[in-house]
Amino acid sequence: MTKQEFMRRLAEQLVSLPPEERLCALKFYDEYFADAGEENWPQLIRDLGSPEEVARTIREDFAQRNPGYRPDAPSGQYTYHPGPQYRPGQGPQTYTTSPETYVQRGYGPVPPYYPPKKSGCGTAALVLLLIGTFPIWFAVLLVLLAVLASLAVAVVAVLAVIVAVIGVLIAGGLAWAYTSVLEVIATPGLALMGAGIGLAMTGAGLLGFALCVWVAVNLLPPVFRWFVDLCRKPFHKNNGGVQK
Amino acid sequence: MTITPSAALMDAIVLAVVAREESAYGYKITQDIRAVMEISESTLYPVLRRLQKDGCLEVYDQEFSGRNRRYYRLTPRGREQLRETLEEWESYKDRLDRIFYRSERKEP
Repeated sequence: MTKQEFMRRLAEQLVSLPPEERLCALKFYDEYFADAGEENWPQLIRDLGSPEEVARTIREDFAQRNPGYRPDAPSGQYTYHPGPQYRPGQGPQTYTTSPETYVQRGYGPVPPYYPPKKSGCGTAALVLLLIGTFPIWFAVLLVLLAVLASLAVAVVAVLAVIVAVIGVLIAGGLAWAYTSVLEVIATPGLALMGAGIGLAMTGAGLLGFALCVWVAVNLLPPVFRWFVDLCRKPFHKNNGGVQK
Repeated sequence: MTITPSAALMDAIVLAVVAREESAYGYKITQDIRAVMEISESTLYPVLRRLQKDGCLEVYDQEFSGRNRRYYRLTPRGREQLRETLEEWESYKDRLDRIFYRSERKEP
């Protein structure tokens, strides 16, 4: 293998890199050959190994600094997208070496260079997707809202019934006891029984009221917290994972 | 060769050679390192490029016998990284020496 062939194959293997990276590597090896001296080229080419292998290390190093880049991309296919570490000021857009110098240096024809995609595309696509799937997610949203509303109504109704029952027990019990006591002279036995039942009803009502208060104080907060956590879960996936 | 430098150690070796050299260029740096340890000729370029991108090295081109040659020199950041790695190396070497040579020396 001659130096010329080594450089040509190396250049071929680096086409998936941005021009700046590609030319920097080629310039390095060009100089490397020049500094080694022509008489040492056969030995140097043997030591360097295959240009494909040399190119692979260069691509892998670039991939480490640019997470969007795939180092195993076949030559000629450009797959580079700016990753989070990519600094636009130093990128391929500012590179000034023209394709002609690339050819003049004997590295073969210049492969086409496709500039990285603009990052705005992602958001636009998402918006389009949201608009396109409007009938689906809107219907799902409506159903969810309806279910939630009916659940809320059911809970309120149950609470209202409980309150009404307690109210009737207390008030009705008291009223019965009172009206029974008024008859104590006419029918003492019935009056005593009525007063007893009425006071028992009042007692049951008061017991129910106490039970409700206890439930409200001791049981509702944990249940409420559990419900809030349940609602939060989809938005904080990390927390759930860590706890496990 | 059973002992090969890690990526961080290789960085420090290159930084040290560049710091020592009056005018360091690719071929010279590689030969300097190859004089003391076995590395392949293709090892150096990715290391130099990474150090340059990390801001530890800067490059300048100068004419040499009718062509351009790319020279490397340390940035303040590179100097700082070299100093840090050397400190870590000293303590690492110390600890290994204690195992290898069974020295009972107390830690300073």
